[in-house]
Amino acid sequence: MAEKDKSKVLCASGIVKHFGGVQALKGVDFEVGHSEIHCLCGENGCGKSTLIKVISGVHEADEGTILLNGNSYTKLNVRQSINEGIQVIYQDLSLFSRMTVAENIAINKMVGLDKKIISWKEVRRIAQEQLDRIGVSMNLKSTIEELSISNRQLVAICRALSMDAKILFMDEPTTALTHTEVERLLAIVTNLKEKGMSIVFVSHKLDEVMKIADRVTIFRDGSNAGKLDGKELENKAEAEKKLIYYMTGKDIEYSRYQNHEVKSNKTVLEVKELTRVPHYEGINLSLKEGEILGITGLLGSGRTEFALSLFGLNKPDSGSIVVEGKDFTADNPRKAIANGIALVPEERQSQGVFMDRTIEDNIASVALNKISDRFGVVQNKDSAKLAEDTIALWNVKASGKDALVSQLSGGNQQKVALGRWALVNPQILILDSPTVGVDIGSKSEIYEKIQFLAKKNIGIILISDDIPELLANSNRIAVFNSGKIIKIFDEEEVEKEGVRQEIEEIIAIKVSEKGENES
Amino acid sequence: MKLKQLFKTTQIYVFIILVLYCVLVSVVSPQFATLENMFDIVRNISVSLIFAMGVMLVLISDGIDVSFAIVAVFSAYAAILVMKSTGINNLLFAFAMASAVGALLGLFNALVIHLFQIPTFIATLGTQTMFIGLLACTLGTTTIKTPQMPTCLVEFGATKILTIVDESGKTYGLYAYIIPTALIVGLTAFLLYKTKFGRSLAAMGNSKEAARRAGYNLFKTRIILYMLVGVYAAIAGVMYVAQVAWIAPLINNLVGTIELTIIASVVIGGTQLTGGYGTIIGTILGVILMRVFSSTLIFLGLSSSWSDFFLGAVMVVCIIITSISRNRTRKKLLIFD
Amino acid sequence: MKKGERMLSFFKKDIKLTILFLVFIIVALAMLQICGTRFYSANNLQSIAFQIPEFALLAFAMMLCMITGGIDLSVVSISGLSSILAAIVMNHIMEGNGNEAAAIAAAVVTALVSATLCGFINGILISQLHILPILVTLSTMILYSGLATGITGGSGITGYPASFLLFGKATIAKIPVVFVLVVVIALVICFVLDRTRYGKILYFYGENSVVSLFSAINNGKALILTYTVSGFLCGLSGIIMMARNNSAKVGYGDTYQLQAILVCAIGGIDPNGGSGRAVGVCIAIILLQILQSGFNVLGYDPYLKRLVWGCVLIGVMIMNCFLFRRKKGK
Repeated sequence: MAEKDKSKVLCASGIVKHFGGVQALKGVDFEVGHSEIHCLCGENGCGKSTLIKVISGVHEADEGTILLNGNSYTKLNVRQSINEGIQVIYQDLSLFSRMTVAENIAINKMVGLDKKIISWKEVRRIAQEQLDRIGVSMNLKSTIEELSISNRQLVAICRALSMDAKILFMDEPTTALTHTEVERLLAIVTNLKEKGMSIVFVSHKLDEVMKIADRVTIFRDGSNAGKLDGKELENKAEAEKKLIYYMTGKDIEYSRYQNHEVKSNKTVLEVKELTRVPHYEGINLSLKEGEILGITGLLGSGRTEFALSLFGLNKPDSGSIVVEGKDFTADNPRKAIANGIALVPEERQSQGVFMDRTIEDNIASVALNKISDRFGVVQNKDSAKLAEDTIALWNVKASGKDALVSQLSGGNQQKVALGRWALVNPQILILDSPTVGVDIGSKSEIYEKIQFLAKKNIGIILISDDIPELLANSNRIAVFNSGKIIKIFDEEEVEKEGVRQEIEEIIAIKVSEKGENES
Repeated sequence: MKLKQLFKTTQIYVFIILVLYCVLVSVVSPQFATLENMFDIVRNISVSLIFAMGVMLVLISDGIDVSFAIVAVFSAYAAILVMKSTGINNLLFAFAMASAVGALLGLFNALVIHLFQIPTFIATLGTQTMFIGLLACTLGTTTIKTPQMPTCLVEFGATKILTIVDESGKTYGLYAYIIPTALIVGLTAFLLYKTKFGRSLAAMGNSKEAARRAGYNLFKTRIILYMLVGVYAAIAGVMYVAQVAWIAPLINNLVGTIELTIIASVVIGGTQLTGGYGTIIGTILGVILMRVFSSTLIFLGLSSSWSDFFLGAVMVVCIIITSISRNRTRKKLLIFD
Repeated sequence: MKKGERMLSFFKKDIKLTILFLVFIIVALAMLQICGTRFYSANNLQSIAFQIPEFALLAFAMMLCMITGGIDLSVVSISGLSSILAAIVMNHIMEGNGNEAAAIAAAVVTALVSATLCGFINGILISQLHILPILVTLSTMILYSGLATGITGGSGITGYPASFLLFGKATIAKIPVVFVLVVVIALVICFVLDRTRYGKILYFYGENSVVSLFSAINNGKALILTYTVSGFLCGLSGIIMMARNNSAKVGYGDTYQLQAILVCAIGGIDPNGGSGRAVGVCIAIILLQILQSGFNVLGYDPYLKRLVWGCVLIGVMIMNCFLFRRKKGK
């Protein structure tokens, strides 16, 4: 399948990898040419990370060969991989937060040289050299703790450069960056490419992929699902469709759900001039009974910070939140719940559910008052029933209420997270990125449930990156940008052709203007 | 930038408090700011400082060691028994013998911690208990009084490298204790700041996963670390025995009492309990602070039994001050844990 | 696959207790075999029952904090400080009007209130200022015991009314009153942890404090309550120590500090929080005491038990390590 081509710096063919009984990679091929930006795409769990670990020597492949710079390997270890110029920047960056920039950049090289005595002059020289290579200046003495996420990313890149990287793998490098920062990162990456380096960019953000990729390889379920090269990438719209098709195996056409008429005219939530510096300012919003309000914007645009304020976890500086005519400032989640506001957080595994607890415990945790008597004694029968009912209602696929949440699939974990909050009968339910890391099947189930809850007259705020998802579900859509709401698309506008483009432009335009001002 | 970082740790506040306190005491009592008193403090902090150096290294690597006191007693007692039975009466032999035992016990700690991935606090708590039992069961618990002690130790405990006679004819001096103490502090500084080993400790304390990815061998680092800490403890143990000139292995003021105090003095010196950060200067300040209260409250007309209270109060104040700026950041960045 | 994993995790959840219980049975039977009636004599059992209470209370205090993922290094300091304050109050009243009942009542109230207050301060620092529990209690450990040393100058306070000392010695049907008291407290703690809202919250917080915050659980209140209750238990332990030793002095029970952590770890309390049951700690406490008296009866070196004890702790942790690894290793 994979022809031995001199112009390829990396050529992995027929890679198979098992973990226990699970086949993570089912014989995939992956090639990287000299001086190219190659995007590796696929949904969560498609085998992207496993492939990176195989190529970087962390995991040993069960079958298949890896050809690096003309040398063929069947078993590759970390050292060999590094010697062949492979460098990986993991999503968590693997930096040492209480150490200086200089040391962080030079550390791998120093370890590699295996010098027992450290020369700080040498460390600083190595660090400065790498910073110069990407044309960035930074205080070498700052600790990583003091840097912004994007600067940390640059430190990680510099560290990889210090190791004379020929192929740089970047695992989801842009997830935590703001738009301007992404632009800067992409510019640096393009520049590195021009200097002869190959970059493998792992991402699921289609617009970025379209922007920088020379070639794209798509994985699905541990196999090659397809690839796109230069020509095919020229027609963006076409390419994007293909990409989605390869990733999901389906032609996804979000059809608008039938939630047009918001029956009631009753406003449940009214936000006036809400401000929290430096997160957001002057937010005005309202939400009706049974309405689904979509909110979108980039990371750091203030959307999540605003949602947390409604839930009492980020006290606003000024402005008011009026729920059902009552003015209240939530200074803790209990108060928010008491006022009928519930929130399903963005980070499911670290904020949303107790991973190492059973489904029953997870459900009980929000309904402790329901399942205990007036002396605070928990009634096990009530707790079990509540759990079973929720599992049935939300169609959670699990062996039972005693299954640990960590053993469920992402979609089912999310159903537990949603189900537990639906139990408290909120009037306002805030869902922050509810379908991230959720498989297609569960996604549509979750959409149905959202509609179902809305029909029960719950006002829903749906925060998402995925604009088609918002268009398919929301009555109105508010677009956040740099801490402000730029525009709220009303019901009619949401229906219009080309509204998606318009939203995307609003998300981006203003910020890139800002970026121009800066540079 | 650097200064800002400094104000995030307790050491700067400890320094300020220490300076203010010393000024206060010197004003109230002229006896305080004398060379004699300084020499006295140096002698008194020696043992603690060596323990503290070891504790600091462990804390930087994101561990906690509570076994060092028994390691000290175990090694010193073993060395003395060997010396008595062989008749060797040599100071260097005492240190070498004790160090060997200390290193061995440290190796055991390292193996338990690394091979079974047990939290260091719990692991060293277990080994501490085991070592107490092991000491009693293998070497016994017979008290060795001053006349039976190897003379080299007793002499070392009383040796002054500098003797000064003041006008009134009173003599005082700088005890030889300062030599091993200074050597160890110097060695620790060199190891921590200038060697691959020291940086691997810091790296490990920041993030074990990242340290592993950077190519450090954590097993090797841990073995060196805990053996080194064992050696430090052994040296401190010998010095302690030389100072008091007798030893009753399990009835002393070390085992079961000083562990947490020494850890506290290192922590107040700015070393992070969560690992990754700690300075030699801070640790020295912490140990001095602990000592200064107990030896100088008397100049202020207070009983020295109030010293721990003052130390505790300073600690509480320091952790509150440093928590304020951290909490501000937490709020701004919406960190919830 | 999933089913197997589930079985294993279920097994793991109970296996700690199961093994601990088996060890307990084996040790108890071994004692019967080796020392027979010398060990299981009414006298020896009674002396065991006398020795358990003061330590058990400290261990419970430690356990509550460890379930939340924290630790309380100040337990012994709190019990020392509170007993010293109580002794001062008691002797003061006795010197004043000599009313024994009033003196005792005042002393008990003083001990409990001061200990509870100490625990409350810990709780406030930990929950409101978000300082690591180990850092807070390390500092307050020195502060509280420093205060006690300062007040007493390091010497003991003795000379209590006879009826107070009786509390330490009294028995009901040969069972020490203090032991009965501790059994009742142990039952209450077991019930609270297993069956009540507060118990559930404690485990949720220990498992993941961020998720519990997002679950609208009052983290602050739960923490403050935990450390306050911990302080209260230390105060109670202080009173018992006073009555049994006829003296209050800084340094009493210093070795209990680390032993309490050890007992919790052996009893299956996860130092990272969120798991472990009170029953396990109760078994571990009794196991410790049986070994201790067994060695006494047999005339072994009293320090031998430390060796055994350390081995048990390391053994338990190694076992946990392997169980955990198997679960993680898919």
